[in-house]
Amino acid sequence: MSELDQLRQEAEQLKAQIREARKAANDTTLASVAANLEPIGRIQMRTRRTLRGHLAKIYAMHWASDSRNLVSASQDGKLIVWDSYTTNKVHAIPLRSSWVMTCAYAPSGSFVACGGLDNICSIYSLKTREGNVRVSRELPGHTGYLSCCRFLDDNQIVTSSGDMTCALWDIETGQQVTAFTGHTGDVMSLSLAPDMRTFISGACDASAKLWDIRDGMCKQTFPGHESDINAVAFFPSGNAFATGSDDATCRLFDIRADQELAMYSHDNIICGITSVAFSKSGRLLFAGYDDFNCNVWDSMRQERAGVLAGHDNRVSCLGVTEDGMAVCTGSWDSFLKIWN
Amino acid sequence: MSGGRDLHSVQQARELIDQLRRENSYKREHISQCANDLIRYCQDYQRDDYLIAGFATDKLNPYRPKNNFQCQLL
Repeated sequence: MSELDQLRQEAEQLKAQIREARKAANDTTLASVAANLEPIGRIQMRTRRTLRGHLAKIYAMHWASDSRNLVSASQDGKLIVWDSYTTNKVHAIPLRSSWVMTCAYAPSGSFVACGGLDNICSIYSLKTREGNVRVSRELPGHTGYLSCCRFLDDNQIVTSSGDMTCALWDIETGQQVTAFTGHTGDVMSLSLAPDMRTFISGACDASAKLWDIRDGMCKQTFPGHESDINAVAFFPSGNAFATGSDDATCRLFDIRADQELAMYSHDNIICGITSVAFSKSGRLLFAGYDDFNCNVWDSMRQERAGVLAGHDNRVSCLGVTEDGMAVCTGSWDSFLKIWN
Repeated sequence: MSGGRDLHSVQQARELIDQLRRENSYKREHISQCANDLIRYCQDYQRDDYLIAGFATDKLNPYRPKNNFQCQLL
């Protein structure tokens, strides 16, 4: 056997050991533990606001920490910052590249970021002395499209890319501080842990990975999905996360058990999931689908509790406010809707 | 040239094994404990989860249905 064959064999043995160790921890299922949980009843929400203004498909949205403003990105080449209470457009920011795939709001509210097929993460300052919005930094370095970005603070941002890596950037210097390598497919989405010490990434290699932000190490890898993972979101306690995939399922993975706890699927759901988010208690899991709907799942009992229907095209993005009072959906139909 | 390719693959295979060894050494907790913790978290915060429990009064909802005397462009 060549050295390569020996190494490959050793890798397969280690994978088998990991599978065994996961089985050993598998003493029950979430479904059986949750069987006695009081069902939450039918969840019926209304569209409270429709945000009109984009002229093309919306690809991403992100709430500000104030639970009032939000930023959306569309392939009409604009980022729009909205006041969701009044539906007013606070800023309409023309982009250098219209092929935008992601956007993010800094926790301070002072910056937004976006990126896409230009492979660059662009940072925009919303609070300049002159009163206008301008690019304050461009972060080139990825060799593939920017699929997702999230601010840690005004000077640090984490990105995920079609080049199969994630990166932590120092915005002031414009440099990559840490590269997170290991995925063997385009990384499509990332979610920061509530304590901001780790993050989860989901990729086209059908796995999710947990990363330590400081040392760049992949702590755990979560297989299970059968196709691209398009979306990931942390459970509010930080001990679990949900994923959404082209395999038409969402799943719940527990970090301390190091494995899948639940699957959210139905025989008549055959399309991919684009986006996922939890309600404030974690009991509701919102998932946006290619079939124009957003399903609301009881995350513990793994039952569908409701549906948000109202878009005329794919739901491409969604998010729940920090105060838990509303959920926003964004769609290829060019509209955003606020529901509660 | 094929020698160069093999070296790269060997390097990658070694890195993968290092990573798998790290992941294998993780101290897993039992699902019974983890599942109960998740459920307890939900139960602790569910009363204050507006998207499940709703708003005690309409006034608390920042998106409450607008008053009759406010104009709305249809």
